Amino acid sequence: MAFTEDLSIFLADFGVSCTAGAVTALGILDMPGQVISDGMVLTTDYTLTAKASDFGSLIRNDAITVDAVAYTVREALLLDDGRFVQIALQKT
Amino acid sequence: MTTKRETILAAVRTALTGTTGVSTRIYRSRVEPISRGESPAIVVEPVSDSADQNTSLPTLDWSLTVRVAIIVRGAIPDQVADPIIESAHAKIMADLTLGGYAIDVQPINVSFDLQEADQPAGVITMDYLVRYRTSVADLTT
Repeated sequence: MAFTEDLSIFLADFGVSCTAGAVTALGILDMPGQVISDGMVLTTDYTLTAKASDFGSLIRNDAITVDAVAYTVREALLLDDGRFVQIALQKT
Repeated sequence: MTTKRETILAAVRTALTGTTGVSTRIYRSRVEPISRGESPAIVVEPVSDSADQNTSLPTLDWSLTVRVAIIVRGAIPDQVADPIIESAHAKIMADLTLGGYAIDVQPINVSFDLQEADQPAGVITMDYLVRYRTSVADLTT
């Protein structure tokens, strides 16, 4: 019997509303602090995890609103089997 | 008393006052990282200092490498930093004695570290060689 995945379950509890273009869907936003450039620069590594079918086609400089905050896409990396995507963001 | 080294580092810091775009964000040997909201900023710090005894007089000729790091954020970080670099360099080179404490100031190297971040970040380091002289037994004179 074929196993049918429901990826929405993974995002249901901690997902926040995200909108890019005409697509609005849930995604999980992480924002750990990071020190780069040999200790000279403090940054925040904004990373959105979402379904690839929703946001997998985003590319650098695309606009996306996450939980009512505007961000710009740095890069989008597919995860594992390609059903989820991890999108690195910068605050607009 | 303060060593001539420290006086020279403080003089470099003071010379940079009014550098284009950084307001009061000019720091002496700041070890904490600079956040996006604190950029652009300048950090002045010593890198090394070596001594030579070139004469029979009881003096030491020192070669102090001073690093002036410019931290910026922007789509093209090195381009954002360019007017700051121009302004900072002119201020450092305006008085090659740094208030009478140095024999000479020479630019020796500029390096660029560009990184992706919550907004593209750049750290442009400008190294200067500051030559000065002290007594053999007293670093303050």
